[in-house]
Amino acid sequence: MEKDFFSESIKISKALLEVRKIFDRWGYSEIFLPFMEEFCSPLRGGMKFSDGKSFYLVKPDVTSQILKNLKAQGEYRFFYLNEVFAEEKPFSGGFAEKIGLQAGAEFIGLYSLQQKIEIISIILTVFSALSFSDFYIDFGSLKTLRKIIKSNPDKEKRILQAFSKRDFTSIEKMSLSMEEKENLFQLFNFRGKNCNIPQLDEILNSFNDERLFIDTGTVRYQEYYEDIVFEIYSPLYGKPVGGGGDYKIKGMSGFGFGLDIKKIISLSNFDFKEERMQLADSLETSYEKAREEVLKGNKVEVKV
Amino acid sequence: MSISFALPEGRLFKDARNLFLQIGYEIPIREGRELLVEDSENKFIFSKPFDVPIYVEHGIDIGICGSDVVEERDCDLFIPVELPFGKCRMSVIGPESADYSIEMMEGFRVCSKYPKTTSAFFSSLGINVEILKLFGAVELGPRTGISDIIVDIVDSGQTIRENGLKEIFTISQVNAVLLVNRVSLKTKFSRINEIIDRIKENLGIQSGFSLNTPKSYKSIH
Repeated sequence: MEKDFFSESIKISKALLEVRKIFDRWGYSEIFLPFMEEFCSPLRGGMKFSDGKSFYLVKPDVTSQILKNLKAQGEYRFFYLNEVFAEEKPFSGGFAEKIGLQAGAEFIGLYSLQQKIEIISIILTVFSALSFSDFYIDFGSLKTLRKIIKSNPDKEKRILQAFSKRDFTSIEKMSLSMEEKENLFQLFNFRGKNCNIPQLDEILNSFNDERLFIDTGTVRYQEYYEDIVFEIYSPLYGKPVGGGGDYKIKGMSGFGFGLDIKKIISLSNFDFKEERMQLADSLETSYEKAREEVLKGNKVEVKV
Repeated sequence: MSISFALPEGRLFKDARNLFLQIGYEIPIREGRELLVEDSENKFIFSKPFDVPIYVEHGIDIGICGSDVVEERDCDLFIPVELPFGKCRMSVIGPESADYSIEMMEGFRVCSKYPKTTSAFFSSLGINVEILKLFGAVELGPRTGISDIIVDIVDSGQTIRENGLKEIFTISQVNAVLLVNRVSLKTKFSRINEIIDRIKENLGIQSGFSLNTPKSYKSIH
């Protein structure tokens, strides 16, 4: 049986309408980035190809595109709904499978707790709008980890890789001091609500939500992430459904996220049915009425 | 709280089964060719070794397979423990009469069940090769003339010797590994960490760090 592409698209469209409303109510503007760019730093992800003269990326990672294209200082609130072609695997150098449709938002401006609270609030309201409640968000701190190993910066990549694989045995075999290993282990094995890392505690204390945790073993590694990273997952699905973190951009601070929105919609209890005003007079009358009602903000269906 | 396990059919099955038995997880007896069995609490699936990482990546809580498979599949999952069985090595293998080194393999045709691993290895050396993916009996490649060399796992070396081949270069050491689903480790944190700790203890893996010791996070900053 062939997949019913159009029925699925209609469902996704209805759900994304609600998602767009949420972003709009928060004051976020949709950003339209080029689908293809010539390869340069800091672009990441996407599908690489060459025309024999230059290298290009199709659908690169959105945050890296923003990092590349943002020129002026200021405060920015963007959202995007974008097909992401592939996600680069930072340690193996390979690419994950195609992610599909990604919804995300970025708050760029002065570094503040407000950025984080606002971005997490957006995620929570998007999930509520989609009737998606069975999820968790775990927060970690790359800066804390880097602080512990500051005397061994050359081992950072291997340590991050070990954290991302939850393989502490590899770290035990490294030539690090016992104190470093103990401190790393505390990060590796901590999961709770308060951890004495102020940036993380402040975020958790700003929300009265049981689904938010500090898991300092969380490493969502991208080269542009500075400190706070987070991962979103659901017991209903075996892989994370989103995540994000903070980064520096042209002297400003950014905090954002990306969601596997198609997967979230499929896991949600979103009600795809909708009420429409039925209009069934003559063609002319019905459409005259329909135009009035649409401009008032009502949904219509003309059945002549 | 139930836990699901993916067990590899084939040469790793017995050691995997014994490992879980030693930490208190007895696998129910299979009827016929059942691929999934359950007891009152847990679920066990029996999979081709190459597919174990896929199952674990997509929701099975815990699995065991070879590190060769994990590298080839490159799945997004946790690998908390290396296991002391299933030891072998990934090697470049050629005809007995071969008197060339790796550096002379530019343009060679390579048969392998591990095309990603093979490509990554030769790319890291800047050597271009043509790779033909096979699903088994890879030793036939040079014997039939369809390839110059193969990349495959080697244990005792008997199979390659009996097919007129020899090891030219060892790419990596291979052993079985424990795999854990990323979401499962978070949603079943205590239970899965307990399993990991018990496996390490059972295997005599010396560690000053236990995943289920009481946590008191001291300030680092």
